[in-house]
Amino acid sequence: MTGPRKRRPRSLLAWALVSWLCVGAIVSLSLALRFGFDPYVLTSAVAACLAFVLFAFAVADLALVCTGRDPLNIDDPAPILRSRWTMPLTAAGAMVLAGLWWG
Amino acid sequence: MLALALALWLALGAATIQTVLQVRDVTCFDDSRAPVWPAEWRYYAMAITCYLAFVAGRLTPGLRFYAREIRALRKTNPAAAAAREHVPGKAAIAAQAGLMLLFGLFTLALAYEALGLYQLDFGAGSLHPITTYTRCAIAMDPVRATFVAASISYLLGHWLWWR
Repeated sequence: MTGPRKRRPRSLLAWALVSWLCVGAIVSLSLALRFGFDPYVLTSAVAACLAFVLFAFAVADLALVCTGRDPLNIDDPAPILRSRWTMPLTAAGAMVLAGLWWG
Repeated sequence: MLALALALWLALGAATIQTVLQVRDVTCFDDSRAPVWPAEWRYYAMAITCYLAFVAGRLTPGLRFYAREIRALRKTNPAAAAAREHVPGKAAIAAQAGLMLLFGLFTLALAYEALGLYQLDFGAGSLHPITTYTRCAIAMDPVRATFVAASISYLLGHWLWWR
């Protein structure tokens, strides 16, 4: 008899955030310990980690589509991704942050 | 149309970089600790232009014949419109491969940015971050730099924010 299965996040958004958090934390800690704390370097590295996580999801999606299976479903459990304000607010926030950090 | 836009963008970007590399007395700087809010209005104009281009990228698919057709069909027959919206197999694979390529390029560019910032801040090498070249391009030719940045914003809005 099997016990209750562990709950896993069903949302792709949750998976992406958790993956980004883990990869970003590992990379940031490694860089900070190896080279010292530099907010500009660490911010760029954490942003690169986000791009890498999205890249990994895109690779997984492409593999699923090429093998004839359903692609990853971002619509179902992640209503925030469906909001009409997500993209414009993200773009505006990214531009303000880029201006603050690199302007 | 997208291929033409990409080719034009690449040509403009290459021309801008070549011009920047050839000019010697450009007022550009490496220091990432510039004033938090730049005093010159052109930086804000550039940011607003890019944001408007991003929104325009979202809105322009509505001008396409295909989108108009779907919208009209949705009013009369929602089920048929939903079926028509389904992206064909090869197109889905091409779009997904393009997205993968885009995120791969983002990853490489940001990793290079981090490396360039590290070498600059710690005096560990001769690489410069991408933002240094961006500052040079803005200082040397703000109109062309704004056009390139706005065209990238337009493509991103058109591609990533199409629904």
